[in-house]
Amino acid sequence: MALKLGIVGANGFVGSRAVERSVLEGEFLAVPIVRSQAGRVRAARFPIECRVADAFDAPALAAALAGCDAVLHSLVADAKQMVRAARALGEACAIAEVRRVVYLSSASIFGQNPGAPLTAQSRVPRTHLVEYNGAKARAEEILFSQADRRGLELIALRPSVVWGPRSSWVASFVDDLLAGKSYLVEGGVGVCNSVYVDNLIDAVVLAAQPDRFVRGAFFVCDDHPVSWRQFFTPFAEAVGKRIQDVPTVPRVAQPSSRPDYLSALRSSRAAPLAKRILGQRTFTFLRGGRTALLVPPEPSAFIPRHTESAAPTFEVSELQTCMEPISDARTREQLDYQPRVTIAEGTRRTIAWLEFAGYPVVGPRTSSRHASQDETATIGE
Amino acid sequence: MDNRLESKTAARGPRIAIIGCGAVAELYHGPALEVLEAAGLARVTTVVDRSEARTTVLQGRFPTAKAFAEIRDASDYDFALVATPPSQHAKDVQFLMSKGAGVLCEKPIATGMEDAKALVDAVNEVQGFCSIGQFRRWFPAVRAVRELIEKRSFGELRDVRAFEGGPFKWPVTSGAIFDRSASGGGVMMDIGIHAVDLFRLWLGEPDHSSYEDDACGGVEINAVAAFTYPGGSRAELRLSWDWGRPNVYEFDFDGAVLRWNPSSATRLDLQPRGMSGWFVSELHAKGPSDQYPIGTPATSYLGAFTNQWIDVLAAYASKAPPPVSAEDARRSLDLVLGCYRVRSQIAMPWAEVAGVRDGA
Repeated sequence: MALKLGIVGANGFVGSRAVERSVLEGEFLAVPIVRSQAGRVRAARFPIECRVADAFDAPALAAALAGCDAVLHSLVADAKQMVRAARALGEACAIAEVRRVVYLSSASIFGQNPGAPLTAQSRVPRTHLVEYNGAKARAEEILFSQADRRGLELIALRPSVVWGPRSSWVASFVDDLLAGKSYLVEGGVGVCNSVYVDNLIDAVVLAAQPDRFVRGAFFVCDDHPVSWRQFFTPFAEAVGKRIQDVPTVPRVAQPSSRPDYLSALRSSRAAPLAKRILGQRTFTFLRGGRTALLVPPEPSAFIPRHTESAAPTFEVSELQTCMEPISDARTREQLDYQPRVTIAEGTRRTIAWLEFAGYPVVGPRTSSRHASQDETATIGE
Repeated sequence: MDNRLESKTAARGPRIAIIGCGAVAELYHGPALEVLEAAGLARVTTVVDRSEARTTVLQGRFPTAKAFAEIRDASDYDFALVATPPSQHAKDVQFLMSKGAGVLCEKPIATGMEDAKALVDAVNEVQGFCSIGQFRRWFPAVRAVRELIEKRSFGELRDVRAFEGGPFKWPVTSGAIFDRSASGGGVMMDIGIHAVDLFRLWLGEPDHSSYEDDACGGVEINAVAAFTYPGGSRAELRLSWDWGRPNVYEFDFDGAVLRWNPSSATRLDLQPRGMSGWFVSELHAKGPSDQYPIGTPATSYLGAFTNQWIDVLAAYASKAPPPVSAEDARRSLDLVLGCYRVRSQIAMPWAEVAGVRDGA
């Protein structure tokens, strides 16, 4: 009998592809779980039951998980929600008696640029420069602690750059490229530790098998790492652009730890008192003054239009300057994971989707164009 | 003030019942009717929905309105908005016609031709008033395109290419829209009915159509339709509830290319042949709401809803034909259903099962 896999976050990039695969390939039975009625949209293509539940409400989530053999948690959430969702997930699985839990964690819990090769033995840092990373690490920690306490079999998968059709990595790059805002940090020579979405779902299915006695955290990667430049090149060519024309920008320095005093004051408990002392007008004036300094002026005949500069965030900058490949050797050994979709094939499919989704794909659009970027195109080539 | 409305305005307008208190009633019809109430053109007296939570939301906007769970129990209305799931439209309109009420029925008119015909027959039988909510016809940009085509301002229209949609974010309060038995279909029925209606407005009736979508036993969330017209013009329509990058209607005239983003009621971009740049135009067409002090100009979706209501109630008051008749809307539905009849599966190269193996 096919594995019945509850998918929390079934309308997201990974979740929706997992649902699509379950129906089209029949390797497992997906039970999509979404947060709102509108979130049912991608699963609505198929004649399957889609359950609606608040991922932060443990009893509601438990009800949605009823009858599932395992759960994939692939919720897209902000930092605060991520920790709340992890707590609710542990409790819900215990209530619903769903013991096998596959949690979509992230390699970013080691930072976007950990400075050393990541292996199964790498230790998660205690401090984080990026809020998302810290929250993801905290969520994983909470879940492992809950798994111990509640007898759950938890497998945390730690992909880095998950890509494929509907991937924001690809779509954002192409959007920026077409808008003249794309960039490569330090020429894009850093390592893109990618994992094609179908390869990640293969790992999920392997991890979700109830008769498999493994637990712990596992990295998941494609067949070999490529540089960011190599990764983006075929997508640029697909829309008639040259990667050579994409500007190189310098690495972004670590953000200043200097606090934003006005924001801190506005959000603090002392804000009402400050308003009374300073008066609302002063407060508004300060805020307006700051806004005037930060917002570019309206264009006019005398003020040229403000063009948004190609400026990566610290997070993206770190990711694109990471020089360390991730090793998923333990995943291959203990989960029998093998990346089935090569980067070349994944690229072909993603370009096919770009065209489907309305991007201005030009020229021949099959694997022939990308044959040169096959398994041999590894870092440094 | 419009003479046709004078007598009703004196009595603070017809009493309105909102039948179905979902998202469209809350977000568009509610605010539009609020504008009409303030202008003395209508009064919302009744709200009907099986969900008490939903009637409560509408009562928040219209505190004196009485709430009912069933349309049969409702009272104190002259005119009704039907905003129930499309599969219920025919039944609801039939009932309202039997009560002698005027109706503005949300699009699509129905989910099948049998129901649509029953609705049209019910209206004709009592010589009733029923307008269908194809509100985009009130966009100044839509009207301007029609004028440009009719007057051949840029020569003959050769092709129209439309790509509309985006990730589905409509705050639906039930899953009915994703249930083919309740909604009649997916994105083609939801957005496509608007697009097809506009194509009919601009180009007339097509003589041939082809269609493909990505439904796999459920409803489609991506669809492609193509129509050809007797004069040789072609229209291609791509719709998505999934991804929405281009979101543009492009009109290829002999002498110019015109672009319209369907999220804008008033903007048109124009590129005369031989020019590399684009003119960006903002239309200043006046809508009926401009004559009322609290009117909402037709520069937005809400403005179009407001103007639709003003025109519909003016026609109702003066016993004029409805702005969009049930028969007119039935033809748009027929085109959508015609697409479903010739449907083929859309190619999804990234999801080919064999491809997964081939890539290994």
